[in-house]
Amino acid sequence: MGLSGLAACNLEIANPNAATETNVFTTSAGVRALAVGLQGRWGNAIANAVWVPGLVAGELGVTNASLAPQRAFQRFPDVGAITPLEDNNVEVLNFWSGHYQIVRTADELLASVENVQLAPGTASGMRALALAMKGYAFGTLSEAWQQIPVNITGLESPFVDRATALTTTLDLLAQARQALETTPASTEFTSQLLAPGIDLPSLIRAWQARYALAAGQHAAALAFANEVPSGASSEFRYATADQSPLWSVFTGLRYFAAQASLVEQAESGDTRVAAQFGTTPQPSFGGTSIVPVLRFATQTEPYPMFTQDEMLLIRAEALARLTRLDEARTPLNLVRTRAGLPERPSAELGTQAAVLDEILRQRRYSLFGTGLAWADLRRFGRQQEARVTWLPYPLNEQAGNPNTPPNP
Amino acid sequence: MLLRHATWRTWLLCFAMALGAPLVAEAQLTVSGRVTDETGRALAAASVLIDGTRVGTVTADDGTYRLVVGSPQPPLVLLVRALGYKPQRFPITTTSGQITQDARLVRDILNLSQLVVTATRVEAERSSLGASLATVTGSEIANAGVPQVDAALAGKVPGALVQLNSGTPGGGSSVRLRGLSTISRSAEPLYIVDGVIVDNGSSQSVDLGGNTSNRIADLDPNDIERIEIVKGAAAAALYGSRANNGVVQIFTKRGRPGALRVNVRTSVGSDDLETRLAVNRAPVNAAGAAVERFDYQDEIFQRGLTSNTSVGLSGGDDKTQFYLGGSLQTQDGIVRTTDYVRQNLRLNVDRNVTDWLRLSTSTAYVTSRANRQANGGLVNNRGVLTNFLFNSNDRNLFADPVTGVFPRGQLASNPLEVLANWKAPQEISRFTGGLQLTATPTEALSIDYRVGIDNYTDAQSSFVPRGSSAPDLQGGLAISANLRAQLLNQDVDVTYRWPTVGNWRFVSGVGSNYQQQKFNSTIARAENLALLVTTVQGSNQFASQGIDERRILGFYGQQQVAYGDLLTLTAAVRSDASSAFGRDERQQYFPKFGASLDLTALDGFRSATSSVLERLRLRGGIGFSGEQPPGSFDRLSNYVFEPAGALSGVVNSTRQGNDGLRPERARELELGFDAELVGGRIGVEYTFFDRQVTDLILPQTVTPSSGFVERLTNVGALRNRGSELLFRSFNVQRESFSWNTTVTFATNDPQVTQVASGGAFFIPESFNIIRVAADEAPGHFWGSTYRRNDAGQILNAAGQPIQAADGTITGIPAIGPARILGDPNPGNYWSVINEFTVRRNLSLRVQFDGVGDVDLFNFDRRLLETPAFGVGAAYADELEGRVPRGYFAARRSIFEEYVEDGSFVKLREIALTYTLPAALNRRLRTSNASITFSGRNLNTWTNYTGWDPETNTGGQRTVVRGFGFAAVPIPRSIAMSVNLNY
Repeated sequence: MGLSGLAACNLEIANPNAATETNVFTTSAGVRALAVGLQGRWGNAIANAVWVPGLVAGELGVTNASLAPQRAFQRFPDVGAITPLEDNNVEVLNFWSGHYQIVRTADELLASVENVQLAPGTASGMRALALAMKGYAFGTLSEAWQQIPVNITGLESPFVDRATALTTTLDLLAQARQALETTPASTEFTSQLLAPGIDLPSLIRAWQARYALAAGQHAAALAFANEVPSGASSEFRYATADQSPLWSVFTGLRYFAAQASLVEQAESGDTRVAAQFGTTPQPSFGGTSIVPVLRFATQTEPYPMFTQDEMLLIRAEALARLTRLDEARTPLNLVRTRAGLPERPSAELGTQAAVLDEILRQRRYSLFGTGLAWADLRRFGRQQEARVTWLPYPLNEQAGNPNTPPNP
Repeated sequence: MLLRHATWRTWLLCFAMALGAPLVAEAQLTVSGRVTDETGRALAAASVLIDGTRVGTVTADDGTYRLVVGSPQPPLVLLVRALGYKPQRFPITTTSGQITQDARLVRDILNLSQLVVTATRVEAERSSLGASLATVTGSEIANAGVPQVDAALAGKVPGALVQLNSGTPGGGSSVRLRGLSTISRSAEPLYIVDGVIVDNGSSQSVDLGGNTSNRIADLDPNDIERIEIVKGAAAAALYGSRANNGVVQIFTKRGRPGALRVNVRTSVGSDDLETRLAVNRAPVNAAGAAVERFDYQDEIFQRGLTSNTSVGLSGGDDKTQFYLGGSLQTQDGIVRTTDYVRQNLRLNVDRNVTDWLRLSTSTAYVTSRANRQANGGLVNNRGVLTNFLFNSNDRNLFADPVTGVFPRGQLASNPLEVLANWKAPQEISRFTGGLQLTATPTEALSIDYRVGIDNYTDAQSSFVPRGSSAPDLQGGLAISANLRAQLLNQDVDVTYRWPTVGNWRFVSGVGSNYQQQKFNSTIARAENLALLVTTVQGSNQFASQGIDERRILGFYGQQQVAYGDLLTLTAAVRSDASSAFGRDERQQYFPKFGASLDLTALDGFRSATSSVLERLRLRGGIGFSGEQPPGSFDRLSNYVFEPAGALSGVVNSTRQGNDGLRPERARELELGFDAELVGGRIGVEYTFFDRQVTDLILPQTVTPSSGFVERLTNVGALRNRGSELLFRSFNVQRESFSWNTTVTFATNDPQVTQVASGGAFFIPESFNIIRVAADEAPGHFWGSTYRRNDAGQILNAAGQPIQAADGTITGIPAIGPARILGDPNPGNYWSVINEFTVRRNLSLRVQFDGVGDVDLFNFDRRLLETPAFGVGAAYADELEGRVPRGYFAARRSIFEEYVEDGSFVKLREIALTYTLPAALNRRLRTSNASITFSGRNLNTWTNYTGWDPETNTGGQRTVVRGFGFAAVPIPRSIAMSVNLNY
């Protein structure tokens, strides 16, 4: 009995609760699970990417003074009790690390796809997904931090400036597109591994358009937006077992609400207002008031990864910045009519400034709750309206990575 | 293997001989006599044996014995030993015939002669150990009048701090031997029962707010023979990587040859609330409207009945002995609707297979059911006591007399509805079994093989009905959580006593120890319950499972060298490999060294010290021990479930693996002395200890751009340093009256010496109040202070003092900077026990326990005076204008206010026992009958203003200590018990 006991004493016990690196990287089941997990990470990271820029740009407000880490981002602080936005803020860390977790999983997927036997279309689908998600992560990060690492080399990755980061984003998205164009995704990939609701080719083009615009490549942005078929959509569909984090912070916990000025300054008849905002304002900080957000109402409400309105407004903005004002007015007015508003006559949109002004106005309503509002302020030269120009680098990054630049 | 075959053959041969062949009588010696104490009272169960041999017997109830020595080989020495007495040796000169040898044993005030096994794994007298080892007898535990063994230890062991965390029936205690030695792991000692390593977990799968039991509660105190407590690494090194918190080894009763003995013990008693809190009686509310006020303590607390009946049967012959124990324990809680029922059964059998092979088994089965009640504690805001605090006492919380519907709670639930409708039962079913084979092929060689199994299921559930009074649980809630624990240990110990060389004696030991443990927990939870259903069936259902499994393989070697009675040296090393250690750190070594120098054995010691100093022993030890990593799989980089909508995927856990994870490691040095004075009537034991724990496992942040957030790393360090004193005195020793006093006193100064880079951190689920930082006490309180001027006066926001010269409060306090507010680790703890015996029939035992230099966070008081609820009497000051309006609204944010001196003295035990005189015993046909009236926790002297300074909302959590928030207070208990022996 004693001897048999000692013989049974194998000290390598497999963890039944989780998979190991070996399981994941060297089996096709593991690599498939990683591809799904990557999308799950996106579904989690989006919450910070929506509400942090939303507060910074003055689109949102916190509902409760006790939410100290969240309140630190808010553009309209309580005068006299301004909460400094510091590098030890846990939500600065969450925003940053949530996106670098996407990057890690994408890198792992790219590496492990090579290790296992997969149908060519399944492998190319996974590669495209990983490249697109990584591109998206860098794009989102580069709208909030002045410099970011884009080449992850362990614990001490080098940082690059914003232009390089956006170039990397566009490169990655182009590679994603290339992968799918060379070998189209298999049915196995699109029906079993890609979350239902995601149209990967359109999503890649939409993100190309978004980040080309951010990089100031207006002609490219226009071309990419034009390539997104009208009627195409991509949404992230949450489930009971994978609840929407946006539902959690907006509805479940009621941390955030919309600035009431969005309602007050809306044109009458704008259907986007009644669809998105409640009507009873409550006082907030800095003399502002807030109204409840009606979106994100259920645990399973899908979240749009891009919208037709965003594509139309990218086209309008790219054209306007290319001073093709006549052409810009068409998509712009299309957005207005989609919202139940009358077209604006050409006379009112006669100058580039007027067109851009109207575009920004429409973006506030069409793209509320996407986290893009902060990037808009920067692109439209109204950065001074934001709470901060850039977020501080998370304390843990500074502590562990000597390449971290000084805080802005 | 050859040895095994040979052993088996020998065994069979001997077995056959034992069955068939009558022993051939050669020269035979019979020794008989009577063993008594100094006053002539018979000592039962004293052991009488020929020293150095296995020839021996035990005395009967009247102290007599008869020992037959088959083939006596001179020189013969008769050794007589009884627990609590100094052994005596009598040389015997004849080798045949019959002789009489009586023995009159002298009390051993410090029990230095007691044989113990836990420190060295071979039987040794306490006086030979370099490191201190404490013992407690079973009767001290059984007479404590508390159903939990660990709670019964309170005040009985110097240096052991026993904290009663909750007064909920079924217990919940923490035992800290020389402070806490870990931050991430349980700080409870390793418990061993008859060689079986048993689990002492405190799983809380439903919301009980820390009012959870720990699994030592499953032992029946009536079954216990004695307990050995090894406090520090210097003594516990042989237990390797599980010994940083010390070792408690419990030995249960065993049969002895002779007639059947029957012990029947039954007690009934009652528990009630010791301290009621004063409630707000102001006739108006904050708006000035007249209100009626209630004291819901009347509805929440009750007087609870307790009972305990146990039967013990023991007996046997020279070959086989048995002990059979059974008991039924019932306890009603002092919180209504809470109760506890426990049934224990134990069978211990010993069999002398041959004269060199002994087989011993211990088996125990326990089943218990505790009805508990929800309490939010540090996790949520629902529950009974929690919502006593969270409902303004001008609200009528009683059920509508017509509809029976309870009003909704103000913030969360209505405590009266919780009592009426919510349920939180816990059911335990546990089997513990041990088997030991002891082979002594020669006098010098002893081989022990042990296997132990501890197997239990812990089923906890929680039920909140549909339409409950909690606004966030309108759909109801049902939870069913099951924990299945399977533990196994297998030990082999080999001891060899070398032939003596002059006065030198040598004992060598080697052994192995294998442990395997598996905890499988499942939890199922449903919300939006089906109507009238109390199980997990509802429209929102969630289930999850987790398995924690680890194996440990250890080997040790030990060498003892003794020179006469003067000097004993012990050196040992244990090596441990654990599946939870990182692959690069798999093998760990824990050495120890101890020395004991008994100056009494020196020639001329007596004459040099006159008669005052009877005995003086110096001892010292240094040893290393370890503590396992928290999770069995923490060393691995795990890929965890990550769904994308309806699809299932995996991603890397944000906690990075660490294949360099080592055990936490303690190095303990202890030095002390034992002194017997004035003819052995005064005894003093003193120990200084210094325990340095390094390699504490703490989460350390990882550069987040790597895709990880943290990893567990051996980065922390802490130390405990203090002293332990035991003072015992036989004040009066007469046949008609005796009076003994025992005082224990211990100090400890714990300090965290190192944490991960980044410095201080808050413990999760502690409201960001409990903090760990370098150079501070572990788990100190941190929070906001009063704004003060240089003179220390409390200031308002404008910088003016808020208190007028006459003491009246005229202003609203402003908040000052956050700082350390207090330390919940007691600086000292002590007990005083006095025992009086009158004419052998009447005895009185009185025990006071005290804890000093300790701070508590009285979160209860903060809520009691929070204006939104204002249940406490203090808030009436504001309603009735004795303090300015807004005073309490401001004060509730100043945490300094609620950190209180938590020192206390408790009248822990008082017991009056009347033992029936012999004549009455004869009439009752009992050999010994007694009746005891006892009280426990009858009174508390403290400045603490909450219900009880001893309880802790953190329950058995390691670092969350001294947190007073809706913890069920320890009841004041009285009981009457009858003890009959046949």
